[in-house]
Amino acid sequence: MAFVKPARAARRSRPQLVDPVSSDEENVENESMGSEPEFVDGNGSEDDSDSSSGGFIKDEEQNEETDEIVKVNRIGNRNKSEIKNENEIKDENDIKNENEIKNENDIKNENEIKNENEIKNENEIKNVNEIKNENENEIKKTKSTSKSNSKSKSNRNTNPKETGSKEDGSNVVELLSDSDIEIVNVSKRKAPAKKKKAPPRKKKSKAEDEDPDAPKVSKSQKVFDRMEAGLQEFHPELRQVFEKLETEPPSSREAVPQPELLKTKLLPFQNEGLGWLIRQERESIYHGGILADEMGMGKTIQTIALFLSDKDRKAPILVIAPTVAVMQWKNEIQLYAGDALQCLVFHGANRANNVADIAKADVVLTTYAVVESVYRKQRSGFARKGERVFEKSALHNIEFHRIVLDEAHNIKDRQAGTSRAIFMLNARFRLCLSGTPLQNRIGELYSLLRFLRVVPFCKYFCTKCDCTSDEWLVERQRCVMCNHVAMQHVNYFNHSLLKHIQKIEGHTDFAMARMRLLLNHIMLRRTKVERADDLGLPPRVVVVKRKFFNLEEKDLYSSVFSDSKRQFSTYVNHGVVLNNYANIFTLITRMRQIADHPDLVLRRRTAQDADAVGSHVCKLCDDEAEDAIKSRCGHIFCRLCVTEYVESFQGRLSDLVCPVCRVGFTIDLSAPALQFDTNNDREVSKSSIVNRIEMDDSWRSSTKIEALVEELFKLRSDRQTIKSIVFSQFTSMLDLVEWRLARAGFSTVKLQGSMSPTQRNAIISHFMETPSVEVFLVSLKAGGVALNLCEASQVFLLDPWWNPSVEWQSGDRVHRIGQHRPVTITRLVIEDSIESRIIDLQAKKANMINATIGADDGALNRLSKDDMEFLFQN
Amino acid sequence: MSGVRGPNSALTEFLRSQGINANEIRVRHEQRQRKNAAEKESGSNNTDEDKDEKEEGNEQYKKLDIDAIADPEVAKVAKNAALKRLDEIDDGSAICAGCYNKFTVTVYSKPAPDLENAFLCRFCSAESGKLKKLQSKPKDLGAKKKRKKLAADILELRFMTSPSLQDICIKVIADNIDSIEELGGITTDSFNKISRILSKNRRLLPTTMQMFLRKDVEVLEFWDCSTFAIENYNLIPAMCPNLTKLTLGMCGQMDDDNMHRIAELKSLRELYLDGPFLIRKSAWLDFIDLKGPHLTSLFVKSVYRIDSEVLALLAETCVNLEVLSLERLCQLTDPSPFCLLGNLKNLKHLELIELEHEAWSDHAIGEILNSIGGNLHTLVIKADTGTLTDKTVEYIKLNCKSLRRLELVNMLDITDRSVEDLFTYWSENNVPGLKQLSLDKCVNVGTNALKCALTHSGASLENLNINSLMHVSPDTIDQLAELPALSTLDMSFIGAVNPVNVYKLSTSNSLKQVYAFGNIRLSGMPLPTGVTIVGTM
Repeated sequence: MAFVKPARAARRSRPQLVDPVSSDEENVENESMGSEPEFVDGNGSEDDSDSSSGGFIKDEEQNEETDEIVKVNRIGNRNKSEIKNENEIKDENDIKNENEIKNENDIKNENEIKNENEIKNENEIKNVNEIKNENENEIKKTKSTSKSNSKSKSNRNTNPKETGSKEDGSNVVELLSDSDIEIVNVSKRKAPAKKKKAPPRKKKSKAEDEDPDAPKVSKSQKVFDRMEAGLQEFHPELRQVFEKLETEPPSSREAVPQPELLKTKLLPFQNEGLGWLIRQERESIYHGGILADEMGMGKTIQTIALFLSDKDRKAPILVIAPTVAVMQWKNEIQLYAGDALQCLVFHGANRANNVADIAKADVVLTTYAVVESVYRKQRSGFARKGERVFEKSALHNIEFHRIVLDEAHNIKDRQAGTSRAIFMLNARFRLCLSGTPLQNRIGELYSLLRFLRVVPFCKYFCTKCDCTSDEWLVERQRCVMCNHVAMQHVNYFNHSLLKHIQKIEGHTDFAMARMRLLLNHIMLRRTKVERADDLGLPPRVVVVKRKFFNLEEKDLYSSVFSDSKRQFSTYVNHGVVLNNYANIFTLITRMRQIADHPDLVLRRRTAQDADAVGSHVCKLCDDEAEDAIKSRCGHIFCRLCVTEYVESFQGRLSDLVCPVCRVGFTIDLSAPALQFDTNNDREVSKSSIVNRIEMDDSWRSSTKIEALVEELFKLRSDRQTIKSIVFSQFTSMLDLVEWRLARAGFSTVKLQGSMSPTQRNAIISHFMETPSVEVFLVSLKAGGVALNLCEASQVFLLDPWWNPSVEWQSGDRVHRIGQHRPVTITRLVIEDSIESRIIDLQAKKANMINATIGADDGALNRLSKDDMEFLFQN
Repeated sequence: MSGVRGPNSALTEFLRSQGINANEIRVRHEQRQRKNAAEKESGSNNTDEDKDEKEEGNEQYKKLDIDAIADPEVAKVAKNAALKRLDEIDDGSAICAGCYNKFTVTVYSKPAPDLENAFLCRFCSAESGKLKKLQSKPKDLGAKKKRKKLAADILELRFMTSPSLQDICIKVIADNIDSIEELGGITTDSFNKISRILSKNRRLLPTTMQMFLRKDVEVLEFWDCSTFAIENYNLIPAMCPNLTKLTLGMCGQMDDDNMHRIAELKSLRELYLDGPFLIRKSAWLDFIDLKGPHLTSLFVKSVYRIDSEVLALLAETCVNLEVLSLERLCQLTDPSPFCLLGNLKNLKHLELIELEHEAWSDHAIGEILNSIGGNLHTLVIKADTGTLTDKTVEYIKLNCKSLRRLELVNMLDITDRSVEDLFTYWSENNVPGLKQLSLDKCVNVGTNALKCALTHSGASLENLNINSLMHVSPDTIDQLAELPALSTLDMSFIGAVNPVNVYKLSTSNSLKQVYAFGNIRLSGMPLPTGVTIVGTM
């Protein structure tokens, strides 16, 4: 050990701070000082070559070492105070040490020196012994997890942990055998990390030693550095996460032939996707991944091909999809796999709820809501007859062969009950499907990683000990496992990726590069543009049709607008804009509704209003229902109309379907007539807006609705049937449009959020199969995703939405594989209303987002004060 | 007032800085309370008088808003004043004929039942609505059905004419196409009618299409080819070698090879392709190279692989083209190749529809029209907002002297003045009148321009589209009734159009159809039956 000290002293930037100080410093600021004495101890001769490039590593090593050494002293400290305090104390020590080496704190230093020598000696002896025993087993593992860092960890033999010594052993082997190569590699790989951390270190030392006024490193950076050090110390597996990712190649995307049982021909890129899926499950360590092809590129079919290609399956496959898509999955599985896959739809009241029944099926289809519900019943129970009943969830008691999350961004909120319920499912393989994996912000990706169990990104780590957990297990501010303060636990995804993007300036590029690296391993994404030739999709034409209010509407609108503007200015003048966000949002919504149809605002209120006129509307004659009766599926008809409908049906009565929702029809023709009770607030407010408008001739349409009618009318000809999908986010607008179109003679279907999967399926197939049904009305929220409506080729968006990606998705309902007709997406905009502003705002934001890629996409949704002012300009 | 003020609470200080004085508020409050007390005392009196007046006066009173007025004398005066002001509607506010309260008249206000020019506020109209509902008899089912039938007819553009026997037969055939093995002995016309119905019903399948393929057929129309596979397209040139005119609508799956084979059709002169988006640039180039000189008519729609090079070749090769229509070519984002269209010396019919925003320029249109404008019979320009300006109108004015059909659509930037100039100049230079004129969505064109257009082409005009021309006055629309040849009129989205205009229009002998979408004043009004009005409620 004799040669150690001179070497250390020579390389020291501040010679006055001799050995005793170094250990203190290291405790103070984990990566602040460039001293590498312990490294020297660990592997003597390599010391020099490393000193130029691997400063960072060595710091870490030092930390660890010192930690071990002064453990006895520190234990007391740590338990009493936070790291910060500790640091402060150490800071003081620093200064003191400069002046007089011998003070009370120097006990540690003395300790250190002593320990150092002892330890090193012991170590070397031990290592030699251990090499023989352990290296064969452990060498591989250690190589990959803690290549450079653990080199000097040989000192850690004071650590009673087995792993520590194992690693030490193997490391020495490494060093002995090809240490030179190793070190070169290390320095290379560590380069980015070093770059990142070097400047703060310098600044720090300056600030401490020379100039107290010098600019300090940002607080978040400090916090980060401290966390990082803790993680590196206690979780050796985290030391080389990204380096490892870089060296390991992602799964190959080479095409594989499609399974024989698949009844359609896959497109070339789908074969590639299938190949990737298979390899990702069987060969990669992740056992699954994210298939994030753009919408309409056949994610479903690739998944079905994957189902068909694994033959030795012992447990069923679970597919979790949005309610809209469940039946579509069933249909597509039947269509493409035929009898090869037995489907079970796990949904609705009379679903089988025992493990055996479920295990029989090949594919179990269910919805997010069901998973959430069954898990809730198992976990927290439900009230029945005043008692709390717990019901075991069949889904959570099976180990599935594979779980597929369709439209996986449904679990983007990691805290939501649905997401938690889904995390608790067990399976061998996991697969996420999503056309827009990053809908709003990068943080949403975490839920997917959590579901896929991508270690270590999904885990929480303690920076003060080696405790790790999948969940945020904190009670009374302390971790239930290690009893350290909650603040000292970090999630590795947050820590290593998210924080850089959100909090630490200048790290965005670096973190995005890391993010891409990670995604490259677990995600496959192809865009339509890349694969245009394979796909054979028609061009996607987006047209904005601008209309102007007529005088009457303009009057009404400008009165509402000036009222709103006045109110907004009041908020601005009082500086309370952000406090009144909800109010302002309501103002904006009102104006948007008026641009659609004034009734959306004027008739929105209910029985309390003096002018609440109301009546049931017959779904057959679209007029006020006379002698109204209701079918079991909840639709109201005139007794006369429906009697006629039933009697004129020629087939078997059991084949008769409801004229509205196309499921089996059940109605009591002799039931007592329904009364529309205008005094019943609930009934009025719940019923469709059409029930509240006046059916006689005094109802006025709006420019927007008429523009739509005109467009739809112009699409008609005697030689072509061009079907359209109409999106609006206001369901009452859709009600009005439906009624107006019915009056104009169009036959339409409407998809509502409240429909059961059977009803949805029935109307979707009715629309797809009947040429005369030309218009499909969908609420932007209910049907924006997972609908395959390629019989239609036109999309109309009645009102602009803040987030263009939602609109983009709605266009994808028709712009997908199987579409052979020219596609047009038409946005109807009232030029002299707030809508044209919204469009401008969207364009502005889209530009902004494009300029700073990777920035928080949530900005699209957010309405800043400036944005609001822009909307309220004249 | 001295500068010395006593100690104040922070709240008072703040309120003062905002101009709020607690004293004033208190005084006001006390006043209000006094007034309320007084009202309660005189309450009984008041209602008695109210009743008296109700019986005396001719007007029927429901609620009189004099509650706020304590003094009966003042109340009387107020009432009288209210009655006087009943018919004065200024800046949108009026006095309700039911309750004599001031309210804002909107288009949704209901007229008072007995009084002319008076409206009911929303509370009173709701009351009257309920009353009316109770009185009204149940509507009979027949009327409802009739209305539904009418709506369906309008939608199908079956304007109350009975179909011919031939049409009925054709429909029967088309509806039962699955049971038919072969079609023969009927005219080309009927063949195409059947084909159209099948397309419309989405029954034109790989199986049914083969019935239309015969050796002698010269004209073939498939309007919805979305179900055809590549082999089906190849059957067309193989089985119908004598085609002169081919129409393929929605032909999304057609590929390069199909295009090559179609190019080999010796006698093909006219081609209509809608949406063949798979055909690559090379195939387009080959096709134009081979077939270009023979074509007389070409419609290309919704394609994104036609670029400048293809268009340049087209302009160079297809010298015999008489009809050219280019619609939605997404890859042409540069106006320069369009200038070359001036080479097509035989062109009589030119349509440029919904091209990319960047593809439009006044200069390019000018180049074309300077060169061939004089030959054109038909010019259709459906531009994008903010691209073409008055200069285009100027080029049309100077060059196009033999036009019969002019459509300028969605040109928001052209002004009333320039269109006025155009027609004045044509009138002065004896340019023959137009048969068809469309100024659809050229919102800045107004009454003057329309009047000049009528002076110039009024006598010959058959089809007029003034959709969304908000500035056109109702008087001018009345004048349209006098046009001798006008049969179709689109006056959608002109807010000022009222039922009187429509009655006036219905006196015209020639007018058959009127499109009136979004004419809010027509909705729910009784309209004449002499003309078909499309688009009203």
